[in-house]
Amino acid sequence: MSCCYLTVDLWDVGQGNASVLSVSDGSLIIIDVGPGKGPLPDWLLRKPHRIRVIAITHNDSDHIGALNGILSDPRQQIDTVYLLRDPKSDQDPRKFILQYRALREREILGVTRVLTLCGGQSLWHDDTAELAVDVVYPDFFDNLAAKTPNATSGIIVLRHKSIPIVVWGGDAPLRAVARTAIHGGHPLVLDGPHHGAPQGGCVTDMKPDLAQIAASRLHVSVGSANAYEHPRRRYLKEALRQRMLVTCTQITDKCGWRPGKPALIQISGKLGLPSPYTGCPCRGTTRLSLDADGWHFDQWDQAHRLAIEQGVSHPICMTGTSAGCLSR
Amino acid sequence: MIAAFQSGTGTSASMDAASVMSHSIPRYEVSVKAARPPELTTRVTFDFGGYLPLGDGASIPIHGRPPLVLDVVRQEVEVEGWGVRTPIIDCSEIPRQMSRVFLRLWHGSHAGTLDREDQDTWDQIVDQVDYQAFCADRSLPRWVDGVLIHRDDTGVRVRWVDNKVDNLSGDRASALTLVDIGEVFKALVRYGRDGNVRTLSDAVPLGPEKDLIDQLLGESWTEACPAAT
Repeated sequence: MSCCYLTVDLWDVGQGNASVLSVSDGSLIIIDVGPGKGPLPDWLLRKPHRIRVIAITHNDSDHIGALNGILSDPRQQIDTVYLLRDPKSDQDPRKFILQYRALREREILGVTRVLTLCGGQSLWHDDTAELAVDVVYPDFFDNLAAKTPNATSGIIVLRHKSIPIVVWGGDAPLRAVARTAIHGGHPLVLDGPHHGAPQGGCVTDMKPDLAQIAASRLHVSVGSANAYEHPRRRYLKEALRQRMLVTCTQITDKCGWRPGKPALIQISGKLGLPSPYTGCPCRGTTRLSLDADGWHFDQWDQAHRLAIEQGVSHPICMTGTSAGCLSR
Repeated sequence: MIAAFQSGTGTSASMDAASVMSHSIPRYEVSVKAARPPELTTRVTFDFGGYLPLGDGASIPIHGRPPLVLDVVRQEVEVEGWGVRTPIIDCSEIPRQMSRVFLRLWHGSHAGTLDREDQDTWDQIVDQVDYQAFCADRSLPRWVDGVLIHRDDTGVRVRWVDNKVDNLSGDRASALTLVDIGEVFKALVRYGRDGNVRTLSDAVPLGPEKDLIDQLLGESWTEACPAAT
């Protein structure tokens, strides 16, 4: 890792999202922390870290659930936590503060700042400002107008020389991603949004948005046993039609998953990361690194493709026009 | 051998083994000519399945069936791809040696210190074991907050901060002895392979919900933002 200026790990946490950006000085930037029983706390708690930023796209448990467990470890130096104000009608601030007791205690002690996530913020940039992690959505009025938590979910972009590299869509509408996240070029990775089941509109509406985003890879962070019918088959197929490489962290029943099926390939383990305790990893974690030669994905795409061919009965990502995409 | 011989000659069961040996085996001079020299390079391959012991009573299933190669010349057994090789006489050591290799490489992988050769070995063997089960078994306990909502002779009922409710018994319940009903607590929790609470320890009572909220918010904030009804 020391050879890289920045490493981005899009974790397999089962149903949920968590990404860890490792800076060359050893510090971390974390975007969503996954569910409370996910593997991220276990990895973090094994040694002290300097965590510059934890940014939570929105306050659903599959994105924020592990936060308390991470913050409760006093060895972790956590500079700033960015949280969103959800328009949940049932969100009692007293219950919220009880839920994130460790965060409030850190704030009272003055060891961690807590800020509202809002479009226009820069979460981090390197010394030269070539690398930057920015919030692009929601702005103040987006947040004010939102009627559901997902409508105001944060969208975060990693840029390199002003070009978007990774777009974390959280659970935001795809239209919001297309409108806000792609200034300066097309990203290498679009994460989600909403576990491959974007909110609002039918596939016809998604086509122009996906075409506008035109990411090289669609990363879908999804759990095998999710009860929400994630991801949407037609969304993945549309992404494939638009020549995106589609990879899911875990295999779902749409591709033939059944309980008890072992992992297709343990890429999380190969990358030195823990695997979620439940579900069946498909691609598992995906790693993207920046070194002197540019951006590189980890070397496991081809092995993953072979594992799908041998171990999945009817994979969505291998149908139709996808064959060329997977070897791209 | 004796049993097989007795059966083959129809010897009475009442005869003792010594008499069978002395009376029933004709002695011949036998000369054997081999058609060709013995194949001293013969390697016999078996599949190795089962479990790897982890030394603390736990074990992880092996589902990749790594090949076990018997080297006749060297009288050694090798687990192919694992870098494990032992004399045949010590073959019962193989699972232990495999566990040692697995744990050493797991540590190196986690620490990012594997060299190229070890990384190649790790890449191969991590697909041959139930790595998810291993991650669950070896996960560190994490702090989790909850509220004790019920206690009786059979155990306790707890509402965790994510609003999920668990019924706990045995050691997991007795770890909450010092927590009052209705009180918030934090405790170190380990989850199992099924995502359920496997162990619970180091519980700390934090006080009744209302008191804790007031303490966390501060007086002026509490007045400005009364509890939702």
